[in-house]
Amino acid sequence: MGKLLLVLLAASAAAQTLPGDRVIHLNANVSIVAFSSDGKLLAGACDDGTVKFWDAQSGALSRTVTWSKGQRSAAFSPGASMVASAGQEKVINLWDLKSGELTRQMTGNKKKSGPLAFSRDGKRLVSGGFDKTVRLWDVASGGLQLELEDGNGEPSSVAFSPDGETLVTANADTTLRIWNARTGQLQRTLDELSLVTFTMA
Amino acid sequence: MRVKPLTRREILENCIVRGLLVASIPLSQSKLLAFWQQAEARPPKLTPENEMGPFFKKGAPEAAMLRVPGDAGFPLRVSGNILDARGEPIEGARAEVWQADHHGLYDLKGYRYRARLAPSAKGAYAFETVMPGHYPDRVCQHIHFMVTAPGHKTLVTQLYFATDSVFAGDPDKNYTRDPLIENRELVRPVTLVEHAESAHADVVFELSLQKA
Repeated sequence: MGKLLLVLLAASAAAQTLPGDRVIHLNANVSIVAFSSDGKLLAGACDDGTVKFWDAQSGALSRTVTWSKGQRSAAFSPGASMVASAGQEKVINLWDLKSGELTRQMTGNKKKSGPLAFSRDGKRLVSGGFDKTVRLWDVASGGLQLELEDGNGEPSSVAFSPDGETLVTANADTTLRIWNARTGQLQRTLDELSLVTFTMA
Repeated sequence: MRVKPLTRREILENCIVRGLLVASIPLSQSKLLAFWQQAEARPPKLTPENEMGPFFKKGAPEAAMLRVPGDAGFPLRVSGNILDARGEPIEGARAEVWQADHHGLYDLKGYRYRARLAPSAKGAYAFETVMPGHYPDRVCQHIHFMVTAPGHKTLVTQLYFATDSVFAGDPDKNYTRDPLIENRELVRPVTLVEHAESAHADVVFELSLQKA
């Protein structure tokens, strides 16, 4: 990863809040980005153990929140008020981005976590673990709601459907699984892919 | 993490001193391998699992020769047996392997350095390849394995090499330099086999599967 990240806001839905296509140069190693709910701020999880906020218009750095180093994966809540992150440890950390504080730690993973995603209402979090298990968490209580056994490899990407009723998980073994996000029932396994899916939303 | 680079000579010397690399003449190869096996004759253990990683690709062709003439990289032969937890060969096992080429690149368009192996009825497998390069986002050289067998849990793992420069000749001490290597046993010794006009590396990697 280079020292400079170009955020190319071309065809994304988020770019609708911006006047035309733009390129913002962020002087940081950013692994994941999200917009605040009003679209005015761009939030980035950085490799130096910080979450940085930039003005989405000018690209100027507006705020830095220090969190934890070595966080390998992260997901912003809708509106970027919270960020969930996971590193080498078995816990998932939940950070409040207004106060900059670690508000909750979710425990119960047998190994470290990979991909993370919030439901659109921000009430639930899904994590894919290196123990080949997908877990659903209640954000308010930190409680574990569901444990789902995924494929032969580690989950590579996880996502809720917009209505929060369905969960889609991609596995390193190139299978996709569709689950009922309330009951945990496996609805379909798709086996048509030949390569791994990295990001889904 | 910054690792002080060693010269090729330093690494080779280190490896020979620590017995990670054995230079041999063709006649004594089987003897050396027998010594290895003798030294390692402990109760059979399950092969540790390791991450699958993002580069598995379905549909690899059946092959035992992964390199083609003219490919860059040091020739490597990997062999072993697919065993159950008691060390007995498993019939009907299948294995897939995938790795980066000498330059550390995975073939995503095609199936170079990807193969479905055809183990013998007794579970013995072997393939010819080149020593994988250092993939830029990973610390160590490695080969991926996915092994399936009737009545057994699928084993997904990776093979590492004791001669890897990252270990600086001491994998016992340095194997955690790659955060993905959770288990020292996945780092295997490398035997250097000399022929009249060429040489290749030889690695034995036993694959022991858990009952389903």
